[in-house]
Amino acid sequence: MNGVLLYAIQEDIVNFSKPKVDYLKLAEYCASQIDKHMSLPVSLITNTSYTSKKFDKIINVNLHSRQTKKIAGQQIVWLNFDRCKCWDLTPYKNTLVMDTDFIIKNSSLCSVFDSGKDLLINKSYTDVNSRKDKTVERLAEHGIDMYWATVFYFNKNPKTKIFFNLVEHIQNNWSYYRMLYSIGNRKFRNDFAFSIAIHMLNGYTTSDWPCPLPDPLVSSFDNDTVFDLDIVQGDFLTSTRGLNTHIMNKVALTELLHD
Amino acid sequence: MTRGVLLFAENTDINYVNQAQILARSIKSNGNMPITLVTNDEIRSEYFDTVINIPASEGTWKINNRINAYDISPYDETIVMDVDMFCPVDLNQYFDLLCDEDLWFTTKVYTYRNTPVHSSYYRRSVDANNLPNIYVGMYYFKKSLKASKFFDTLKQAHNNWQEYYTTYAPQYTQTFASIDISTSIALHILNYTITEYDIGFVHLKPRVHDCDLPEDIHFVENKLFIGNFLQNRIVHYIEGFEDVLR
Repeated sequence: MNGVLLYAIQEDIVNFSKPKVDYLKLAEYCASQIDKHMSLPVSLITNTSYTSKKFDKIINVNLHSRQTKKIAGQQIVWLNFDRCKCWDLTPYKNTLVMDTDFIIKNSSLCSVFDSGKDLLINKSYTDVNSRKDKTVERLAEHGIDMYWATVFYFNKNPKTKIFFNLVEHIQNNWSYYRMLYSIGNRKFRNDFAFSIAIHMLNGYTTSDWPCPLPDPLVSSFDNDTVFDLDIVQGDFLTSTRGLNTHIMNKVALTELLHD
Repeated sequence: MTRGVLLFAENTDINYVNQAQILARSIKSNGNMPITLVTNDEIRSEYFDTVINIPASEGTWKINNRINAYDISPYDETIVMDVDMFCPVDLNQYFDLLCDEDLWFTTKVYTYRNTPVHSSYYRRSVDANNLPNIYVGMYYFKKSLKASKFFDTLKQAHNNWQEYYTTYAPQYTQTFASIDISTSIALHILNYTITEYDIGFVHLKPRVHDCDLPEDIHFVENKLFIGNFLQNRIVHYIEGFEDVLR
């Protein structure tokens, strides 16, 4: 069975204050876009007691670690530690996993389910303003290539099980791997852990495994202004109409969806 | 059929014999492979099965004896390598792969990251004149009519390099003799097509990489890493590298 898996891990809302990043709200919107363009069942992994009929299944996990991150000048809680568990948690044999700030606007990713590949993930990205940032192409100046865990596809088999176990091992030993791969940023990022795991499974070198997704990763960045879901501004205004787009400014995205 | 590796080393201000020893050690540690050193130096080393003494070449870049590889080699099948190389692979596998060929040259080189090199910075003359893009850093030949004919043509091209380079490489004509260009011209004259195999070596010349090389070069359990990258191919290194490999 095929399906999409989303994550909405967030801290409990205190005093009914609106969270700066409302992952549940983002997940709801993401699921509605998937339904509209891809007609696939969507399951949600969350640490909250959230219920909704928008999801095929809601899978509860415990919150075990926390870290923060600055987005658009605001410090937000960033709980990204359970991505490695997706192999165990997914109810599907073939799963497309995506960040909830990845806005689906077409059906191109449906073809992953017919690809026959065990793992598909993008290494390169296309900036909405065609900006080039070498720091997100590799983990370090001479480091390994960076893969984007924003959206990826896998099917359940022994190799992908090993892959996600390895990602978990890297996460659990992040201080060591961060030093080994000369990563300046102390924060754990799934992009980094996935990249390291791929490098290790490729025998510590570059190979053509895994293949990229059929859809290039179009991405805006943390400090870009989000006017609406089709118009973002980095250096200049850009329309992303019809393009699946990664909108990293989750704060702006949350505000838009609450409006 | 006998198989072996042929190395040429004539010392200048660079100690090529020492590099040959480092290479021979790496070859031997990855497979039982006879090695012959061709040199004008007096040397005894456990890593060389045969040492063939030759008179010293003229000039500072002592490459002229290399065109005699076919005549010098004591083997039926020979892999010739530059000595500033490190071999982390079992060359028996390369011989098995190449044994149906009479002659084979490296056609594709790689970065330390195992990505193909696309830069033609060092190959302007070859590119501009549509000559075969081959590398003599590592090549194979079998004692055969075709290989013999090739080496005869190579000798002609190399011994008369100014005339041949002007005729066959009029664009960006190289102003000095090199085995790469002479070989490329000889292959062009013979219309010899080189089969592609995925055994190209890693080229560490700086201009083929899109950034400086990592300073971190180390061994883990006798395996060579450059930065985070394990080297599974033969590595054609640059000055200073042998200090680490030694």
